[in-house]
Amino acid sequence: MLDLIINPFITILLFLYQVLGGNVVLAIVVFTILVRLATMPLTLKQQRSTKAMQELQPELKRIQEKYKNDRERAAQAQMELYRQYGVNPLAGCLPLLIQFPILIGLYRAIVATLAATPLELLDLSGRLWVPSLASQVPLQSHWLWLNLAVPDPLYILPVLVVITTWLQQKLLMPATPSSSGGGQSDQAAAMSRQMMTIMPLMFGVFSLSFASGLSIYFIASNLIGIAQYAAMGRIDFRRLTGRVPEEETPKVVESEAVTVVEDAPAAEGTGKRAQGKKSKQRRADKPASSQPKAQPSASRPSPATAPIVKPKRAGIRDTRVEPRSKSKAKS
Amino acid sequence: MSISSVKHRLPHLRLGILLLLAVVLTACGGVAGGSWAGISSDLDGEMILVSYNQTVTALNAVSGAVLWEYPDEDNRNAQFFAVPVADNGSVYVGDYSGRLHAIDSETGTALWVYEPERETLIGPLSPEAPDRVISGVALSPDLAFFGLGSRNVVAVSREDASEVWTFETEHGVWGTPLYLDAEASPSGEPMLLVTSLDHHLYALNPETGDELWRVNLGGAAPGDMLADPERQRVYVGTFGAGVVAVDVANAEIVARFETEDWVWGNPAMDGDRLYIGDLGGNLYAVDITEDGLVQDWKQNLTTEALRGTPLVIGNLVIVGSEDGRVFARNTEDGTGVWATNVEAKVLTELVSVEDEGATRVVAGTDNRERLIVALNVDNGQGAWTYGDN
Repeated sequence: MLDLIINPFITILLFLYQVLGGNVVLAIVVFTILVRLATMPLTLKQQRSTKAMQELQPELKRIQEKYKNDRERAAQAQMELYRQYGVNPLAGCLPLLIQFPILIGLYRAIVATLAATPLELLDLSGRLWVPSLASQVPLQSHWLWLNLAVPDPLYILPVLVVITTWLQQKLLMPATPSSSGGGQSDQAAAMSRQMMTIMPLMFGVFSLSFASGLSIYFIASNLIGIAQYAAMGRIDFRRLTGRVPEEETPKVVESEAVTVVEDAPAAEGTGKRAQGKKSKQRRADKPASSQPKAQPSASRPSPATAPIVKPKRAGIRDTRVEPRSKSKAKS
Repeated sequence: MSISSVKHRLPHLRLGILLLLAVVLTACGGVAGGSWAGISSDLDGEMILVSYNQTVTALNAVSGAVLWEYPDEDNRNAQFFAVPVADNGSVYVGDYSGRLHAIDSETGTALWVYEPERETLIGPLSPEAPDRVISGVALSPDLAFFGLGSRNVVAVSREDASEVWTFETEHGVWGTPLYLDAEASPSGEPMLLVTSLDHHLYALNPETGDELWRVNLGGAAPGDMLADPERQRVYVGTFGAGVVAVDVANAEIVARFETEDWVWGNPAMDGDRLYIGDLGGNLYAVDITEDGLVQDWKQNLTTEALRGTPLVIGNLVIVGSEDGRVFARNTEDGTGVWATNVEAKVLTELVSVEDEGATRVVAGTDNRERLIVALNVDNGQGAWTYGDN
């Protein structure tokens, strides 16, 4: 099954190697750009979904607090919230799952074409969709001080892999709101922070033991990813210092409160509208610092004043750029 | 599990996916060492030499009993997959750290170990990655020649393991170099032939390592060469360019036989005929004629690779396949005589041994429990096996 991915990848990589004058690093970089472009819709979807989930965090937290003694109803309210805003909590994972075989395919393609061992070279046979590309096999593995078929003996590439992976995560991952109330949101935030540490280290360990050609791919992929998002205006380099100015923190304005109507006890209110007002009031009392630090964007005209207006069943579209009057109308 | 509870596990899920990726990538790294066993026999055919993973083992060719293992259990810090070569009481074998070992063939003890010098920058940090010896060893009376997985050919003294010269090609040298002594060499001077994954066949001065000439074969040549002293030729299998016949007297390609798939092992020669296996599972019988290399018959034995060199015994041509079978075909027309399923990939070279008039073919597999199997040539039935059990 994976052969359907690996074989064309190997063929494309060898073709690029041929047309780029036998420069293996250039071939890997161009190959990475092509794969990045091809998977861009998935990456964007993953980003949007993660961001949308982050923006719902205050509301989710409030639901947890409200129904802290009734997990069943908290779950119902959360589902209702997701339904109302058209957010699928699994949508952030799905693109990652889809990219999984692509990553494996890339890995296998690079390892097979560099062929450090006889079994790797043997594995290459029968995989070329264009037989004439056999004349390029195996790729020239020497570049600078490196033998790209084996790990970097100076450990420079593994270090670069760790740095660029961390950098990309730091710049691309939406900021995780800190919570004072504890609970699952805090756990999720802590886990996200752990991932920020674990992932770069994990790829660093890969680079220590695998072909350095693969490290070239990791580094190129990270840098291209950063450049890609920078070109789209989705990166704020101030995040590197961990300081996103307070005034740029967007406010959350609800269009409609979420509640669970069925089996609602009388003490919680008698109807949807009444509970909505109550919830809205409580939210207005919250200090600004407890609001989520949504990802700022250079392309947005005035993030400091533009409120987040949660669209009703409008998918995960960010409506902060819409005119204020329209937002108000929705509210 | 509700969707909301899934949400709170999202970071866990992502971490899980990444860990799964780590596991899969690690699993994709292949088996230890990434190669198959190297096997050969000594000159008398009394001993089978097997290099696999951390040991080189000498087996009794008749019974499969272990004669000795090298190194001893306390010093197993190397990986061996290159074909061991026995000569004059010594066994020479390279390891996956770029070293060459000379072993006493009687006792299995080390005579010497050559270790290449590595330039260091700070402390143990070196810009050169540890190299691998994938090729076998060619021997002159004074020197041992072997290729390195990265791109070098090295000559070391058989006397004291001192490095005499190194020659750099542009890619890995995985095939065993071929030493032609003064008698076999067309020029009357000894010559060392080396194939490389950089697509070239090099002729070197074996004393100095100076390049005499090179020929572009048109494809990578990972395997060994077959010498044809009578015609002053060598035959080389290539990836994508078939089997090439090179006239070593004039340093030119004189014939080429196109195969359907890549050729790794060198051809086997029987008189004026070559037997060639390719990685697409095809076995060819090719006649050497004045018009070039002409196919007599071709049999598609399997869809998997025939990696090793075919073995010709009497009127049988025997070859092992990646799908775990050993085939014996009639040399005349390629019809099947027997096929034995050894239930593990057969990627090694095949070796024939004699046992009181009976001939056996010895093959290596990728199953540690049946690493070496000996089959009766008459019917393909197993005679003995050697493995971890």
